Amino acid sequence: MNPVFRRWVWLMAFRDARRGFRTLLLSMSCVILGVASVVAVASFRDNLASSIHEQSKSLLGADLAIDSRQPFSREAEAFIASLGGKQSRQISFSSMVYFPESGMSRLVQVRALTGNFPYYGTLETEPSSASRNFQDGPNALVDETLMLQFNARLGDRLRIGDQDFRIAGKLRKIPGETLAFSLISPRLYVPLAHLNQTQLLQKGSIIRYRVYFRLDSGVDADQIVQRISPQLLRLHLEADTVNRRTAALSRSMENLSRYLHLAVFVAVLLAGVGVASGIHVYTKEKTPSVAVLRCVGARPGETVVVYVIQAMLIALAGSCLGVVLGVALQSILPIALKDFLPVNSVFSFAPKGVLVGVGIGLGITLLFSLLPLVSLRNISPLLALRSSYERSQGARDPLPWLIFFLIAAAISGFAWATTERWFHALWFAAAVLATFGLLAFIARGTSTLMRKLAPDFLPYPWRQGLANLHRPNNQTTAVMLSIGLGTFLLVTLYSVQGMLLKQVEERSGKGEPNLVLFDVQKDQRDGIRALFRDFNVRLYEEVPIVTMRLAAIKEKPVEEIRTDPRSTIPPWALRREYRSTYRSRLTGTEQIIKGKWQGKVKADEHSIPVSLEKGIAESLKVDVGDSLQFELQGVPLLTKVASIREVDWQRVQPNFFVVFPEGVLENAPQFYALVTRTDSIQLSAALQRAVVQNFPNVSVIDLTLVLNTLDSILGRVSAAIRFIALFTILTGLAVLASAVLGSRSQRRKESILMRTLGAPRSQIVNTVVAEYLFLGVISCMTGALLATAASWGLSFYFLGTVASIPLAPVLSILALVTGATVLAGVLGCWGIFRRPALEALRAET
Amino acid sequence: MPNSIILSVEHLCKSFKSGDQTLTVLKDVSFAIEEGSACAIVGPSGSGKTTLIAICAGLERPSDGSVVFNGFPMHLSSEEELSRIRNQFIGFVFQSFQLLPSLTALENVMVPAEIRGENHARSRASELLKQVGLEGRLHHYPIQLSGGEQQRVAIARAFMNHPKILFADEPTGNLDTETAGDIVRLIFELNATTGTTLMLVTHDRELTEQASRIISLKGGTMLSDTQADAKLPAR
Repeated sequence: MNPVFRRWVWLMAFRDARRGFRTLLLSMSCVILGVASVVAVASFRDNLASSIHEQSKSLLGADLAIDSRQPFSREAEAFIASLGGKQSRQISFSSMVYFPESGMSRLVQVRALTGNFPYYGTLETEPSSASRNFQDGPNALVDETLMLQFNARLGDRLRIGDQDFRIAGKLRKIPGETLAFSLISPRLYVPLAHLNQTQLLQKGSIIRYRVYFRLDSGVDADQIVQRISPQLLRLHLEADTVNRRTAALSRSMENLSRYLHLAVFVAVLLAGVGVASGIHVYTKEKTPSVAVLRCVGARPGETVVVYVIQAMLIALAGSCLGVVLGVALQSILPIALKDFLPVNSVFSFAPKGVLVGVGIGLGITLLFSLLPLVSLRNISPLLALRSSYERSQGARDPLPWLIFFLIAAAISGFAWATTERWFHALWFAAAVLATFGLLAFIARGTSTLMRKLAPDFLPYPWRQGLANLHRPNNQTTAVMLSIGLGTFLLVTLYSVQGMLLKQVEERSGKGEPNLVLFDVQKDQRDGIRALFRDFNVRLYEEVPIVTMRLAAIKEKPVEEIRTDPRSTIPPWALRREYRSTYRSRLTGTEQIIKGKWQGKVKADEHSIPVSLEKGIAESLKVDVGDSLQFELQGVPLLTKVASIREVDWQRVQPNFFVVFPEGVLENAPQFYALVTRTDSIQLSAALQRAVVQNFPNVSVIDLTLVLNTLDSILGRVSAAIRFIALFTILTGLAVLASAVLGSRSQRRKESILMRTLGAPRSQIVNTVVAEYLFLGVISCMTGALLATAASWGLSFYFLGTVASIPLAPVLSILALVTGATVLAGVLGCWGIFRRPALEALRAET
Repeated sequence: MPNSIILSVEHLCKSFKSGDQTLTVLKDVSFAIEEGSACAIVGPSGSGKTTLIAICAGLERPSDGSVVFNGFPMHLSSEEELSRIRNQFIGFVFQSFQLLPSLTALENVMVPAEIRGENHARSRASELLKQVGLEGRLHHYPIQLSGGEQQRVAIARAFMNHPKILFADEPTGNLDTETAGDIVRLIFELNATTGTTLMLVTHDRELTEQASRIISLKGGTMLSDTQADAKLPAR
C-alpha cells in the first residue's frame, strides 16, 4: 500500500511534530516570507489590472483624442467638428519657463488648454479649485516638482515667451500620467486663450495639436476610429482611445509585474534554501528515531513520508500566514511604486494572487524539503544497535539529482509562465541557478579550504571558529547563500545606478559641450553668438535643422504602406516629422558602417545622396541604394541612401536620423541648434536667464539638469527596486536565523564540554564571534565579487562603458551585513553561554 | 520432545573493508536455537556479539553463510521482506532503550502494532504497560521516565506484536544493579508466559545464569556452546 494512505504514517507525523515543532517553526518563517512576497506581488498585479480597467477612462481623460503635429487645416477642422460630442482643445510644446522672483529658468512642457478637459478623472491641484478657475485669466498650473525646485509659491509670476502668467495652482496629478514623467518633463498648464501672447507658436517648433472628445453615451470610440481611419490618414491625424491607451498601459504594467514576479521569486528560492537547511538539521535529529522505526518494521518509504507530511503541514501553515502578511503588504507596494503608476491602485482581496502564493509555497517547500528527506530512506536500522555505524559507500543515490532537476524545471516553468518567452525564461533560470550554484560551490570550497589550511598561528578561538565552518552538520552553505545573495543584490543595485549616472557624467568631462540651445531662428543667430561672446563661452557648433515628412519608401507611398497589413514598418517612423540637417562632413559622434559618405551633391545627380542612422534604416527597412522621398512644405525631395551611420546618441550635441549633403537645403525654411559649454552652475544659470529674457522662444537643454534629473529618477527607481529586494533580504535573514538556531543544540553540547574542560565563557563567545565573522566576511566578499562580475558584464555588453563600483556604499553594505551576521550568531547562542556548566550538564543528561 | 528450531545459523561469516584491510568480525559461526528457549551470547568487547544478533535479526547481511529464521532465509530476503519479518516476528530491546522521544510511553508501545495496520492497539498497549508495572506512566514522555522505566517501556514495545523471538543487546547495560535485576526478572517472566524465544547479548551475570544456553564468542569465532545436547551442523 502507498505509504501516503497508511494511517500509522499520519499518526506518527502528527505525534512526532508535537515536540519538534519549534525547530520547524524557523523553516516556517522562511515559507511565510516567501509566500508573502509572492502574494503581495500577485495581488498587486491583479489589483492594478482592476484599477486600470475601472479607471480606464481617466487614463485618457476623454473618450477620444485626435492629434496633429501641425495646425489643423480647414478640412481637418470641419472633419473634427463633424465628429460631434463635447470638445476640448490643447496645444503642447516644449519651452523655457522663467521665474522672475528667483531668476531661474527651466525647460518644461507647456500645455495650453481650453474646454472642460479632463472629462473623466481630475487634474489634481492645490488648491483644488485652481483646475477649474485657471482658464479665467493669464494663470498657470505648475507641476509640484517644478515649484519645489525653484521655491515658487502660489501667486508668483512666471514668464513663457513674451507673456507673464500667475501661478494659480500646484499641479499634483494628471489623469493617466506618472509622477516620474514630471521629473523628466515638468508640466505647466496655461489657458489656450493666452497662448498667442507668448509668441512661441512659430514654424519649426515641435508642437502638438490635440482635441479631446466626450462622446454621447453608448457611442463606441473605437468603432468611430475604425470608420474614420481613411480620413485620419489623409489629413495626417492620429487618434487615441481609452481602449488603445488601456492596452498600451496594460502592456507596460504587465512588464512591471513580470519584473516584480521574477524579483520576488528569488526570495521564494531563498526561502526554499531555508526550508532545506532547516529540514536538514531536523532530519539529522530524527535519524535515531528513524533507525528505531526501521527496527520495528517500518519501510524506508514510510519513514520518508512521515517527515514529508510534517514539512507539508509547515508549508500549509506558513503559506496561510504568508497569505495574511502578503495581503497586508500589497497595500504598501503601491506606495513604494507610486511614482511610476498612472492610476490609483485600489486595495482589494485578490483570490487568484492568494492561490498562486499558496501553490508556490507548497511546491517550493515540497521540492526543497525532499532534498534532505530522501536520505532517510537509506538509514539503516543497525544505527539503533550501533550509533557509530557508517553505511558503506555503494552506488550514488540518483534521487537527489532527480529532485535538483525538478527544482530547475520548476524555476524554468515559473519564469516561462511569468515572461511567456522561452528564451527569457531559460536565461533567468540559468542566471538564478548559476548564482545559487556558484555561491554553494564557494561555500563548499571554503569549508574544504578551512579543513586543509587550519593556520596554527591564530589564537585558539579563531582556529575553532574556522574549524566550525567545516564540522559535520555545519550550516556554512545555507548562511553563505542567504548572506551572499542579499549582498549580491544590494551591491549590484548600487553599481548599476552608479554606472548609469557615470555614463552621463562622462559626457560632461572637461572640454565636452554641456548646453544646447535649440529652436533658434535664422535672425537670432547673431544675437546669440554675441551673447556667447559677452559671457565668454565658446560656440562649439551651429547646426541647421530642416523639418520634413516622409512621402515614399522605395517608390511606395507612405499612405499605402500604412494601410498595408503586411507592413512591418512601425507607424511612428512613417508619420513622424524628420528633423534633418545638412553638412559636408561627419561629426565626432558618427561612424559610417555601410556605403560611402557624400558631403556634397553632384550637379548631375538625379537623387540626393543622404546618410541614414542605423536604427532608423532598420525601422524603415531600407539599405544603401534604396530610394526615399521626403516632402518639404509641399516640395518633393527624392533621395537615395548613400550611407548608413552609427551614432553615439549619448553625446551632448545634435544628432540626426537623416543627414543631407551640402548644396540642397541651404535655402529651405530652417532653424538652428547652437552648442556651447559653461564651466560653472552660476554661469550656466546666468546664460540661460539672458537667453530666456532676450530670446524667449529659444529652449535650452542643460546637461547638469539632465544629470540631476537622471539622478533623481534613478534614485526613485533604485528605491523601488530596493524595496522589492527587501523581500529577498528579509528571507535571507530568516534563513540566517534558521541556520543559527538550528545549530544551537550542537553548540550547547560543545559549550558544556568546553566549560567542563575549564574554558571561560568569553572564550566560547569569541569562538562564535570568530565563526560568524569569517562566515559574514567570506559571504559578503563572495556576493560583492559576484556583483562586480555581473556589473562588469552589464557595463561591457549592454552599456558600452567601464564598470565602476561605488566604494563607499559597497563597503558600508559589507560592514553592515557582516555585523548583522555576527550579531545573529551571538544572539542565537546567548542563552547557552549564560547557564552554569553544571546546570547545563544536568539538563543535558 | 525437543521444540522445533526457530533460528538456524550455518557457517556464518562477516567481514568489513577498512581502507586496504579486511576486518573479519565473525568466522564460521554455526548454531541452532530452539523455540521458546533463552540463549545468552557472551564474550569480550569486539568479539562480534552485536554483529551476530544484528545478522540474526535481519539488520545486517552476512558476508557468507546462512540464517534461517522461522523458515525465512534472512540472508536472501529483500529489505521489504525483512521489514515485515521484523514487524511481525521479532522484538528488540536495546542497551540505550531507543524510545521515540516525541511519543508518550503508550504511543511508543503502540508503534509496532500501528505499523502492522492494527487500529485498536491502544488497549493491548495499556495492558502491556500495566504488566510491566507502568500503568501510572502511560502518558509520560521518555524524558520524564527513569532509566528502568524507559527499559520497561521498551520491553513492552518489544512484546506488542507477539514476537516469536526477542533480541536484546545489553538490556541492563545502562542500569544500576537493582533496576537491572528487575528488568531481568521481567524479561524471563514474559519469556515464560508468552513462550517467546530469547537471544540476549549480555555481560550481566544474573542474566547469563538464568539463560538455558550460553554461546561464547571470542575474536569472531564460537568459543563454546553450553547446551551440549544441541547438534552443531556438519560443514
